[in-house]
Amino acid sequence: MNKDESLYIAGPNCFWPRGGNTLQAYREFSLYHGFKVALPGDPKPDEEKAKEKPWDQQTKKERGANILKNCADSMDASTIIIANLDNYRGYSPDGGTIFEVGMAYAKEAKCYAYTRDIRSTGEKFSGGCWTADELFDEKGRKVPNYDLPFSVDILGSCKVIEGNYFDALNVVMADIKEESKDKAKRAKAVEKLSVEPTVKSDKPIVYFCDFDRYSENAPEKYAEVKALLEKYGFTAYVPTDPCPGVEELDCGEDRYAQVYNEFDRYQQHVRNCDIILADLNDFYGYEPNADVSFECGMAFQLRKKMYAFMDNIGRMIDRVPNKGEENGCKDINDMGVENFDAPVNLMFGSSFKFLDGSMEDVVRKMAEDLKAE
Amino acid sequence: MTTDERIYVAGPICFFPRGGEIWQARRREAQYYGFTVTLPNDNKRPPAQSKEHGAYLTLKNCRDSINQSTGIIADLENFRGSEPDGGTIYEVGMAYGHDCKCYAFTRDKRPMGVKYNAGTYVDGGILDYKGRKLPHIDLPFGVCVLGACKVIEGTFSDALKAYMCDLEEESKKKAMRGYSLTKDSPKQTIPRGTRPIVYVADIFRYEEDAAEKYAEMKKVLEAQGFDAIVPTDAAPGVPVLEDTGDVMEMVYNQFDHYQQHVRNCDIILANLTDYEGYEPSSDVAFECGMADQLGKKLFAWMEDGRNMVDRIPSHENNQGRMLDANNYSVENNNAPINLMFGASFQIFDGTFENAVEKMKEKLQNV
Amino acid sequence: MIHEEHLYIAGPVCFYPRGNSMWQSYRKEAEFYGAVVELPNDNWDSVPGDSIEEKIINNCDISMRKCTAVLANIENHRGFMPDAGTVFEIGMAYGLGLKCYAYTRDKRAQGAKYFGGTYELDRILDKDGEILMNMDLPFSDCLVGSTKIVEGDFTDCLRVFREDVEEESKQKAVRGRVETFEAPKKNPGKTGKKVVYVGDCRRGPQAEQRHAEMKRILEKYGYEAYTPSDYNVNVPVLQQMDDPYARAYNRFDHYQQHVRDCDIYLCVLDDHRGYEVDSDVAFESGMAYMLEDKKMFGYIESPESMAERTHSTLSESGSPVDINGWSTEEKGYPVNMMWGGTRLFRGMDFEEAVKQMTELLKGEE
Repeated sequence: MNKDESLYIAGPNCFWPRGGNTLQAYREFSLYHGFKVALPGDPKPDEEKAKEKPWDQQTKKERGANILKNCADSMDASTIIIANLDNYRGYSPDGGTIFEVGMAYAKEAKCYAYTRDIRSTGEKFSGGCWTADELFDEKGRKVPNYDLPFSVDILGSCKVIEGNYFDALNVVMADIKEESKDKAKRAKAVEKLSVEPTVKSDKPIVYFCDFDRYSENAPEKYAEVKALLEKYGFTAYVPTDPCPGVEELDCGEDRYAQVYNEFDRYQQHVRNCDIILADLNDFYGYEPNADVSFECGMAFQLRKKMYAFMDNIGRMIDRVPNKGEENGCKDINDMGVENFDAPVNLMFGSSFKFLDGSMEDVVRKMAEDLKAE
Repeated sequence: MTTDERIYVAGPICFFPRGGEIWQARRREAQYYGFTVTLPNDNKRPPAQSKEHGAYLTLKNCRDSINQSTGIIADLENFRGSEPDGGTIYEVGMAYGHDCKCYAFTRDKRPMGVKYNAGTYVDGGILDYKGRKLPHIDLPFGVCVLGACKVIEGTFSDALKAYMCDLEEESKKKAMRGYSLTKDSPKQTIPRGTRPIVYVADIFRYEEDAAEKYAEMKKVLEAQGFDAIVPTDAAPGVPVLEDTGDVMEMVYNQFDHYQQHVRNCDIILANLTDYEGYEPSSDVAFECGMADQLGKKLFAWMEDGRNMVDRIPSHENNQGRMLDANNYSVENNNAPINLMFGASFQIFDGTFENAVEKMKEKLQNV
Repeated sequence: MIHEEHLYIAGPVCFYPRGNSMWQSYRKEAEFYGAVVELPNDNWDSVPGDSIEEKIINNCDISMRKCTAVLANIENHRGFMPDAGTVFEIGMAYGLGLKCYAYTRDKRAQGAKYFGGTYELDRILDKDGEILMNMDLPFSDCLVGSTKIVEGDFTDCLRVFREDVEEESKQKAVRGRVETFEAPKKNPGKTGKKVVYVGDCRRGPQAEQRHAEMKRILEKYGYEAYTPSDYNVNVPVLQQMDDPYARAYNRFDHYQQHVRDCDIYLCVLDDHRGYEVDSDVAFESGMAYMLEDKKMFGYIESPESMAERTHSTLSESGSPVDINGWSTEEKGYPVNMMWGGTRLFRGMDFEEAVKQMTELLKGEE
């Protein structure tokens, strides 16, 4: 029943001009229908702490960390996430939002997402170059899974609804009613997700999480990366590796079964690792890859050690064009560019250690940092 | 999207002025998304010999289409009163009996207590315009509709989207480790004796004095050599769940008893008397459709069994259609009610007792 | 994006359990699109008034005067009529010249959506045997006439409003286009006596007799009297039009002109098809209230309070609620508290009410 469920409302709305209003509107509307609601930004003032260091005296980094802590607390209280997949500064959904979906999935919340455009990527991609059987993005890369509306991890984890928040909530409520009916059904569906790790190793296991998984030169790149990681004393998995315990299924023509099987492999890699090493470089526009974002969120929720690399680990406000700190770091659309002294959205910025340099530099620094602990 | 799903599109729009156009739009929309739509059957049908024959051919067409379907999307718009169109619910019953996925849509999923617009408020309840206490004022629709269907608030497009969304989830489940679905194949749960079993699908099931009334009805049937089941009976094999406070869980359990009654009977004897407005009760309509699909013998009675065009004031338009005050069609098939019932049921005009007697005669003559 | 529009958001959600959340949700959504939202409860403490009902109407009045448009929820409310308080607010908005928008999940004709109808050949009788007027229109004449009605929810209504605002902007730059609309003014009466307009529900042919009787009584007490059965002499009669919306507008035009022309508006507030005031009467009441040059009186035949008529019980917090858990008005008040600025005569016959009204008016001269 609605009253037993607590909603986590995720989306890039907070970056829009006046966007906080939309989140409040969604919250109030959901409360009306009897749900409990946890918004990422809900203040949960720890009074002692607040006395110690009020908001305006905190460093930007501390603020980012506090907001992330706040999100994590809200997530812990939630049973359902409803995420807004609106594209954000480019073709991808907001990376922070997908990070939160990853968190929700890892804590076994029910994942719902909504979009104003559920057509396939091939149909809705802008700025691409089409050939007879391929689609290339503006950087000349083949666009993966152009027959799907969103990335594999989003589709695998979420029920995706075309419409707005209210449409999504409508579907959530209809599903909750069906669940109630299921309780009284004599025939039962058994759903027991396997959440246990399926591999063991004497050495720390690293999941190398990047977006080259779909590119043609993935095998060579991944062979090099694995050799490097092993050289520094890790057991390494890359996204294309088969995952013990996850069978490769023959799903025939059924695209969503194929998608799920692939998603299952990625999510199990995250469960299996001790350390995630993620490539948070911009994928489309100014956002990290959505599969990577999702897996990072999962890793965060599952308390993995988190390292990331980027070509430029300077401040986000120096990387994403904006109108300057005196104007609240707004971009050309008056959408906020985060200013928490981190290279990327605070969900990542406050949870990862960022490394740069050559791939070997990155792996070496990570190994040193782990030793220092 | 490509899919093997074949859907049956049900609703009262065929009775609305220009409703055929909406019907085609819905059909085309579903086809655009890759569904096969099973109704209307485009096969040419033989010319009708009479009104009754025409009704029979239409019903046969519906039955054939249901038998090819994997899902139904039904329009629950209220029709000449507060109930959804009885013919539509009959089709939902057929589809449920055929193990289709059942979806329905409505513009108004608020509870009946809120949306009933001709009620009289009394202590502890609301009376309908006929002075009868409204059952289940906390539910948006009847028990059978809610039990069988996933009800979407919105339009046909919204329901279609929900359907597609669920198909994607189903596909994903094929690849989900640790997921399994056990399905009880629904069987009869009453051992067969020598006497035929009659299920009285009646409309008084929610009234306070239903128990006494039904005890009387059972006596009448038993005296004529039938075993009788009434809606308030518990169905063998169906647990009676304790009230958990979860309304929809309780609704499903109630529905489970009703649908099991239909499976358990040999004969359905339905009360098709107008329930709200000019339509039968949606619970009864559902059970009738299900009984039809499962090959039960079909009998019914109506307190006013005159032809529909005589019962509902109507005028003829220039295309020979009979129209009510809202210009909605009134069926003109020499039957007292919607052709789904009219062409499939033996309908007796008058009392229950009279119907039982006539039913016995008919059965003996077979 | 909406610039310089101040929205008044009206609706019965405040009577629903947790309804305030719904209200806040609407407000936040409108603010996101750049509108300024005036909600009636914004400045409760500083509102003048001796009783709750007076404060309520004053509060709405203050908010409404800051607004450029109203967006109203006209969902059926405890019966067939929309919430009377909401329709009152639409009337206020119309009286001030605001843009009026409303939304409903069911914009089908009333004939199709009424549950308790008895069908006749070309008309439908309601459960009390009265003819269902406007069966080919979704709502009453005053609502149809004054308001743009959107089928959908608040979000849909706001979307249509935003689109219209954009179109308005474009119209400013269209060359050669001149649109004029002169708001109607008050016309003097014929006899020099005080002009009374009786706002009673429009029941079609059955009402004419009742209205004639009301007129007779009012004339006996020295008034020039009009009822909804009368045409307004200053408004043309366009009965021959095919278009039902044009016909509805013309009827509405007569009603609204009656309201403008009268000195005294006497509204009949008994329940109509459910437990709410008839929506034509509610609209006229709001309009008359806002025009300020009227004296307003209300007449209710029933002596019972709204809570009594709806068989309400007390909720945990001690306020009356109906069987659906919706609030009914407190403190024995007979109708929606939007009539808080109207002097009411309850539980008597019509003539007695007119007599008392006349005495009150004499005392004030």
